[in-house]
Amino acid sequence: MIRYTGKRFISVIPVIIGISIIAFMLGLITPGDPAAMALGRDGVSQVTPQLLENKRQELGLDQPGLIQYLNWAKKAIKGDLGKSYVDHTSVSGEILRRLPVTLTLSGYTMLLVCVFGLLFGVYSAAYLNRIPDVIMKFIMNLLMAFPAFWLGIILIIVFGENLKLLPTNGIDGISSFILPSVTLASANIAMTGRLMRSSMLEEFGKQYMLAADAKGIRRTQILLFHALPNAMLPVITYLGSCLGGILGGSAVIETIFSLPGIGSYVLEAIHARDYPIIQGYVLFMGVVYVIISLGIDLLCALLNPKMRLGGKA
Amino acid sequence: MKKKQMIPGILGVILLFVIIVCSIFAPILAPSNPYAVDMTQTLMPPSRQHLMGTDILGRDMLSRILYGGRSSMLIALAATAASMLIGMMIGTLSAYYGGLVDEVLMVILNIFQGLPGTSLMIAIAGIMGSSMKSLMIALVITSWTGFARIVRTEVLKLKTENFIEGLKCLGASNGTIIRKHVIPNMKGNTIVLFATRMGRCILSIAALSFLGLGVQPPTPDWSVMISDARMNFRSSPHLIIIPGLCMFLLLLSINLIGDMLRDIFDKKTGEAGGYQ
Amino acid sequence: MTNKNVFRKILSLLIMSTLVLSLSACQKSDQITTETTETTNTTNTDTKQEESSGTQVNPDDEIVLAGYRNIAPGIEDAYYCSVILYVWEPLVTMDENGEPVGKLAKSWDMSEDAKTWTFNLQEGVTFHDGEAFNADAVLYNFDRMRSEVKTSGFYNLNIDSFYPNLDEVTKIDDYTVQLTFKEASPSLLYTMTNFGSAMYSPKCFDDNYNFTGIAQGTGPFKITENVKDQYVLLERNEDYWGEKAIAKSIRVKTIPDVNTRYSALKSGEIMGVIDLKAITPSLATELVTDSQFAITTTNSTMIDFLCLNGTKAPFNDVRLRKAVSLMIDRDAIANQIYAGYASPTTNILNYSTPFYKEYPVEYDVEQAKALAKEVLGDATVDVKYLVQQDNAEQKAEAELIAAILPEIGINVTIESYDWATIKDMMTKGDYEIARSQQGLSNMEAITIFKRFMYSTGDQNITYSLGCQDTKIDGLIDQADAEIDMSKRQEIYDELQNISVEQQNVVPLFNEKTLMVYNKKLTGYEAQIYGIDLPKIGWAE
Repeated sequence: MIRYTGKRFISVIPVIIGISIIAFMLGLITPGDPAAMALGRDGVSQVTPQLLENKRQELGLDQPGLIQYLNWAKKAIKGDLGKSYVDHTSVSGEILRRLPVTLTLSGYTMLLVCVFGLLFGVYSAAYLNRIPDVIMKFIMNLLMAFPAFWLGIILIIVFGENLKLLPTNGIDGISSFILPSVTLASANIAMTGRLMRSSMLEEFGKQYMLAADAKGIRRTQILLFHALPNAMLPVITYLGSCLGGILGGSAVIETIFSLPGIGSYVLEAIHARDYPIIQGYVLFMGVVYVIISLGIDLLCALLNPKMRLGGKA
Repeated sequence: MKKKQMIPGILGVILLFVIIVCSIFAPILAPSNPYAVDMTQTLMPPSRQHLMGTDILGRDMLSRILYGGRSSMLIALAATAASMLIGMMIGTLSAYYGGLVDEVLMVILNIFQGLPGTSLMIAIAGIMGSSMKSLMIALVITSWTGFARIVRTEVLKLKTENFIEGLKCLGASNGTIIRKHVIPNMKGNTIVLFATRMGRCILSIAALSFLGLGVQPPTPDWSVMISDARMNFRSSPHLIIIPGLCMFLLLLSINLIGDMLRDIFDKKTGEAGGYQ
Repeated sequence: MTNKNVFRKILSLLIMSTLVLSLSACQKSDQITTETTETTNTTNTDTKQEESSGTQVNPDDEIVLAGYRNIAPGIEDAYYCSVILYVWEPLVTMDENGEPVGKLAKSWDMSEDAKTWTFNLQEGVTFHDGEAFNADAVLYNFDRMRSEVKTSGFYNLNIDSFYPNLDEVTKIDDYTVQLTFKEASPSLLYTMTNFGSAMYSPKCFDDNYNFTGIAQGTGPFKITENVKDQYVLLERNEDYWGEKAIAKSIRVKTIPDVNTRYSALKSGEIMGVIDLKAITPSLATELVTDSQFAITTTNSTMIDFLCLNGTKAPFNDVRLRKAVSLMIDRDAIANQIYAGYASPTTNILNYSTPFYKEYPVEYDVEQAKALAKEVLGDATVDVKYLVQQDNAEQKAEAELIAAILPEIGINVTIESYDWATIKDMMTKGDYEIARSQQGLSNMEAITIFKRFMYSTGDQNITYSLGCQDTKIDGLIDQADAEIDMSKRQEIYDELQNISVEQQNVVPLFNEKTLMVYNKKLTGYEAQIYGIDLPKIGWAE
């Protein structure tokens, strides 16, 4: 186990370096002059060539790409992702400041996904090909065919504008996270439920299930204590990548519900061509994702010793 | 497989067929030019003259709806196909040759998988300007890894099978083995993933359009129509309901077909990447 | 390993992780809410009470408004917050006609040669932190401006644009300040309004003249709390030197998405919207179908126009530029796309300056066709039309224009990018038509002429307008040297004539400031820039 853990840790390093290179490149290949953006963002001030040149030097844009990357990476290791071109705030500071909002949103979303995804999946599998299963499958298909932002708009109109039950924006307490997390969770619940269902079905086909059936053990008992634990394994792996997807995918939802998280932060940055934020965000999210998948891998290895031998499958 | 279970899948196939036929024959079916503006007939509700009403520039919604599925479907199809090709290539190479090649390719794969998909897509489409090309690139970059991973697992399984060993002994070249024996043997999971990915690509295009990064105007496109309708969908709900419904039916049909394929090949697919 | 064993492990892990997740989630939201619970709770219950009873209104209840951006960006911003919050006050502000009027400056005097300006300051004014407002404070604020260009999301704090050719600032006595200039500066009052003469307590800056905390101004409101991206809390300044504000406390939330602002108005979470882009015309008309809401509108300093690339064919020909201008049905755009909240124009100068001259807006397809035929004959040209990605109205406009221009032989391909890319392409000359807009940094018209029509003007160059005319340059130079404002007006009139005649940019319309509010509020009135915040209060 220790060897496997060590190996996995080392394998992460080149991945993070690669992500950092791509993150940095995003800024480099971008057309549009960031110095001009940084100066002329009020849209009414006049920008002189001299002012522009000074700004370029100040931002280090006059140096070759490789040197710019190394300077950036050196600082990034120390946790300094540079400063926003637009309002000169520290990118890492802003990410940390906004992270709790995104984490809270993702936390609630994951909670919904875990609870309802597993519930739907098990329920559906337990009533395989009977009416509940058909209904569940139908619901899951509906949820998956609904673009998330569309669901968000509908929820706002129904629960915010008309019923006035839930806030349409902001982060004032749990109630304001209900609509966004439901929006963000819906499709993921469907995916998890579907995976859970098929994973359960696979377990049903296995020898020990037949044996247990033959021994006359109660069906619910078989379902909950034998099939479910085994069927969980692939679902856990999926939930890991799902969390990554939720963290990264919250951007649109954060915009709709005006949540000041890191997703809406990077969206604004993309519109304003604020490279340091885009770069910092991609690097940060990349590292988070790599850590999550590392954690999931180790977790699976812990639960299933066979995996340690087979390496990453 | 029981016939009863096939019903949703068959419904999906019929639905998709209808959508595709309508899109292909849009020039024949459309009652008027989807680009023709008429500022005296703006925001009309559905009527006999305009069966689905008109939009803010007085263009006939029915005609735009008929044309509107083309670009999304085409982009999604092309992007998924390209992702599949790249994924297959890298997955096969990685698994078949193993060793250092595998290590290096897996690192690359992990790098791309580690990138935040949605934001990267937005960044690419935003940076390159919204055009079919940049939408495609954004979609491919974020979705080829899923294919590569699945193909790699499949090929690893195949590699240990006797007939491949036998072929090697007979002196078949690696290229021939891959082309004639490895690739044809892994279609099941790949096809299922293809269907799922198609759906996701369409969802992604919808999300990008929502942020103003969709197909270039004035090309009619359902997801762009939905996002443009945000201006006045409350007084003219037909502007958002009709294209929304079309989009929903398209996604539903793809999902149903995906389900059916999954049942047919009866294998679970290791889906990578969260759903967004 | 038995199945049971695996199961236990998984179960415990699952429970643990769920717990940790939910705990962390709760904690996080608690942290965020603690600061705000008190106030939000009270507002929530208050609004609910009103809804149920509808009669009892406590005039001291908090009023919640919202804007699209951080209206108080904080210490990184040169101004800390926008002028529309009435936290800081300028020496000179403007009236509803755009004419300069005194605020912290009681009166002023210009010397014969227009090189020396003497300002008499209001007496008995104190900043929120108790510091006295006097000549020393004014001098300090000028020192701050002179130290460097301070960037801002509103207007960069650049002394050269507010006080061109400023030589010296001297204190005559405690309430008199004198500005001397190297050149005649007859239009100083126009350039120094609002953001140009913001006054802060010298105590709120560090050695580099950057804010150390909440800005301390002299205005009728003071900021008590400012949470970035969420809200800024204003309290009435009970010691205000002028007429005190009506509302006791106002919370201005940051809600970036206009549709969300609409929803928040509809659900009663906010009572009104302020700032630029407060609401789109179509959403505003939609909202007032509900009798709870009302619209307030006035002229805006924004003008919207098409840039035509004048550095190359086909739009280096004035006839084709005119043809495009004549082809565009500005009334249809204003009425259909902007629900009537736009005022069609062909003049580059915005209508809120006192120097503006009105011209009839021509829409004449036949004349346009004739002009185009002179230039193109029977040939057609392909042009590229750049438009911003995230603006549905501008996109609709582009689609309309793209649909009509083929009639005069111009085939349009629309390409949408973000503004930075558009600007870059324009500077490189890689475009034919591009949609742009321009606000007035001050009411002095010459700024606009210099930027768009002078041969070395910055927008003329960055937008590749190709306006190279010695006559225009001569007129602008002449105006610059003219001390007599009425003679200046004559030159400005001529420059406006030229702009309408040449259409170096094709103006579409002047914007309207458009805001919506819940009728539970009174005194909600749009101004050229913002609303009259001290006048709003709960309706009886």
